Amino acid sequence: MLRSVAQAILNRLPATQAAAHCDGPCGVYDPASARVAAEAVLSMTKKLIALAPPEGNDAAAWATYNNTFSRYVAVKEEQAQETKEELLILWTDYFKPEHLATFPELHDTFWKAAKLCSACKVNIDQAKAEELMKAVEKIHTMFWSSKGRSDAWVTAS
Amino acid sequence: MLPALKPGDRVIAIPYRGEQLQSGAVVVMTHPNQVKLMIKRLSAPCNGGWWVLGDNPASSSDSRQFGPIAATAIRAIATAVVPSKN
Repeated sequence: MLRSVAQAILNRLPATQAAAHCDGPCGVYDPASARVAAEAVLSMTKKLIALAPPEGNDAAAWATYNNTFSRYVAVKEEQAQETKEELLILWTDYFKPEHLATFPELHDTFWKAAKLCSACKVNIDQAKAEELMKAVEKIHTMFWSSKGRSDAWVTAS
Repeated sequence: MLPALKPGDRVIAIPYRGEQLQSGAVVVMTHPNQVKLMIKRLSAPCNGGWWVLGDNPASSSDSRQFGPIAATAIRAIATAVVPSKN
């Protein structure tokens, strides 16, 4: 009874939300989300390279081409940004100062991976997208090794 | 902040107005690098501010990542918890 009265009062009171975590709840970190986003970047880069413009001046064909091209670029942009955000969460929230002793190259790896995300946005560059996948794989290996595990690197495509 | 707080719990907190704080207090604070309110436990005074930790060290992001917080980051002191229904 008392509890339901208290609950009813509380439900009417404005309450500000305070988070116990900076991102996900209860330490659920997994480099898989960065990997999926990075794979999407590579996939969109390949599709952009393979996309041939129409021949001639057919307006409808050009409209379709421009629409598809724009969509591929938009998804590449968005997924590269998502990769960067997922990596930054792992870097700044999951990895702790004590991990540096085991992985002295940790900061350099994340910094370069974040730079590759930007390079994939700026360019249509398959080599950079593949390099980004390699960087995410390296982070995957460090992450699981820090948990005493050796989960296999598996990609969706 | 498990086990003291679980997601959805409501906390009754009184605004912090510069009074004496004690280690162990649970405070609502602004994150030093993000625009959001956090809830953490005061661990120890540090450089004029406080070292704050979560109760669940394996999962918490706290002063171990972002360093000590300034006393001005503390907004309120938790005084009671109303557990969520679930």
